[in-house]
Formats: sequence, structure tokens, C-alpha cells
Amino acid sequence: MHYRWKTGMLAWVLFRLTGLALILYLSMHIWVISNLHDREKFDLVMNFLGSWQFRLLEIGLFIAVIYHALNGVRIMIVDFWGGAVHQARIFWILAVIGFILFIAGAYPMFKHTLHWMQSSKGIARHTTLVGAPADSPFTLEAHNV
Amino acid sequence: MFKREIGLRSGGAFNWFFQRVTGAVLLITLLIHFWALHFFGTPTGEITYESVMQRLQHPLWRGIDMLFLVAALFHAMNGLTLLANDYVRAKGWRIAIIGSLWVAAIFYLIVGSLTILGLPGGNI
Repeated sequence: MHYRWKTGMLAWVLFRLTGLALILYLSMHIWVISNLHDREKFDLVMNFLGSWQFRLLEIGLFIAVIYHALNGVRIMIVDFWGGAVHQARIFWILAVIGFILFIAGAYPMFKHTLHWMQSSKGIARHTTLVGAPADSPFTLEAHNV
Repeated sequence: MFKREIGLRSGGAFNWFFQRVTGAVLLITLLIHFWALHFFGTPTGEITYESVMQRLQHPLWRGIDMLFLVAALFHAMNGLTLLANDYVRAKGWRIAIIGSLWVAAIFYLIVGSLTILGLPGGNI
């Protein structure tokens, strides 16, 4: 069996790194969600996580998830259905699927971000939550949207 | 065959197999999770206390979330076990690390289960 060292190695390292990143996220996610039983805490935490910085991180998370999931699918195809023969074709098919998933998923995420930034609620939330003074560049940015 | 497989085999056939089983489960539950959070509930897709609580009133949603939690934790901890097997050479350290990883997994399982199953019920 010929092992495509360079691309295979990169795919494998990225697989492990995205896996680690997702574990880090999972542990924080479980912890944060455990605070959401009462409405006040829920709103406080969700407002904080609703800031555009976290929205951008969320899109990064989404990319890591797509990569890890599809590379996992590739591994399963190779291991269970002898897909090694069609490696290259499988890679490109999965890459296309990944791109479509990203567009389909990132669109509502971006839309929500814009919606949130444009709503007065979002601006009000942000200034109170982050506690930014009215003259900070951050607040100005929010008002300029 | 593959270097990757040798690494995985050192973790045992059980780990190897169930990493794939939980991976497949996660593929489905994650899609459901993503769909539920971004397309279900409020028209703008905003996640509110009401939308989450309303959804989780249904036992099926709690079941799906429990399955998601268990599969994710197993997959995560099993994955870390594989990493420890690959990179930690000293046997004593390896056992200590893997042991504490599973203790952490059980801790997170308890925290997560309490969140999902302990949500306020009744009228929201």
C-alpha cells in the first residue's frame, strides 16, 4: 500500500489538532450550559456569547467540526469499505460536500450576526454586558453598524 | 498499512471500533443539534431561554441530547486515550493520564446529565 506521505500526514495532523480543539470546546460548552438553568443566568451568558467575537469563533468551530467530521467519514470509508483505492476521488467529493455544508451553515450564522449587530437590542446588550464606556472604540463600532 | 492504524491498534480493537461507532453517532446527532439550534424555534434563529426550554420539554429531545453527550464524551476521551498511547512513552504516566481522563469524562458526564435531565419542567 502506497502512503501519500505529505497530504496524508497533513490531513492526519489536522485531524488530531481539530480533535483537540473540539475537546477544549466540548469541556467549556458542558460547563457553560450547566449554568443555564435560570433565565437570568441564561440571558447573561447568551448575551456574552452573542458578541461578534464569539460569533466569529463559532464559525471557526464550525470549520473545525466540518473538517473533523468529513475526515472521519473518509477514514471510515477507507477502513470499512476498502476506499483506499479511490482515495483521491473520495477526498474531492468530501471537499465539495464540506464546502457546501460550510456555505449552508455559515449563511444563517452570518445572518444572525448581522441581525444581532443591527438590532438595538444587540447594541444595548453589548454595552451593558461588556461594560464598555460610551466613548470606547468598541461601542462606536457597534453604533456605526 | 497505515501508520495511523498502528497507533490506533495500540489502543485496542474495542477503542478502535467504538471510536468509529461514536463518530458515526456524532455525525447524526451533531447535524440534529446544529439544525435544532439554528433553524428551529424563533424565526430569526435566535436562541432564547423559551426556545431552548420548549424544545427540551420533549423527552425525545432530552434523549437525543443525552445520546449526543455520551457519544461526544466517549469519542473525546477515547481520542485523547489514543493520543496518550501514541505520545506518552512511560507506562506509569500513560496509565495515570488515561485514568485521570476517564475520571474527567465521568465528571463531565454527571455535569452534562444534570443539565439535560434537571431542566425545569412544566409550563414554560
